[in-house]
Amino acid sequence: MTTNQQSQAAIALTDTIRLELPATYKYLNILGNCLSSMVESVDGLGEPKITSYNVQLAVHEACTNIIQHAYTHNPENERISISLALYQNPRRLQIDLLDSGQPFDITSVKEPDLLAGQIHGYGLFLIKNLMDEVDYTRLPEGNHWRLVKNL
Amino acid sequence: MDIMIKEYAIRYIAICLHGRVDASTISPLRAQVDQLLNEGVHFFVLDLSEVTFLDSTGLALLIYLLKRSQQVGGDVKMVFPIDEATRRLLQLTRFDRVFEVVESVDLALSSF
Repeated sequence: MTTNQQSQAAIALTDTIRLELPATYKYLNILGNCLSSMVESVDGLGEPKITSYNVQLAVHEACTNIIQHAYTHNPENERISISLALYQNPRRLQIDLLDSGQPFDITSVKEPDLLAGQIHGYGLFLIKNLMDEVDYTRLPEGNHWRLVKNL
Repeated sequence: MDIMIKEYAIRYIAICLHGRVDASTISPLRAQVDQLLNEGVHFFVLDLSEVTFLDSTGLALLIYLLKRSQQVGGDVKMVFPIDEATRRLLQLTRFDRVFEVVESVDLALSSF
């Protein structure tokens, strides 16, 4: 198989959805619907509804974080670029989020003391606990979040 | 003989939520919670049995209500969601330990 054929085979094994949404809460349901469609289309998942919920919640939290922190001043005029890619071998769902907002200092966020009943700090905790991989990178043009769920 | 009879009424409020409790829907709930707290209510039942999605914004408001109530000697009891994924979320965040979980609103009200 040539390199080109291998590349085409890899593409054939991937479903990708790209969205560019205004940085507001009211369109996040579109993203949630796309995620649930992708997850629930996968054959043989042990708990498709639970997995779908957890992925939706983690991505929702990442977007909420962008709206509240990256675009603090005027989120209505800003956008979030989203790529959802379902890979087959190994089977996983990869979500990439790009924004052009302020940097996020991921090291400044402490793990919440759950039994103390903290009011804040659940967002990043949920993202980390509901996904298998979470990466944040500051790019020259903005922020890049990559969330991966093994399926 | 002087007899003085005083009657005190304590308000118990059940807040019954349906559907999504998240950043996109939270504003009216936050306003309602603040209004009740400012009126002096500090015993609540949070009925989450029909909640189908809960995010960190929703979690934060539930804890806020608990803290504010407990600061003035009150308490908040919780009826867990029927939805399994939302139940697991509340277990992951230890809300089943931080709140007293009860089977129903009626049981909660009779146990204050």
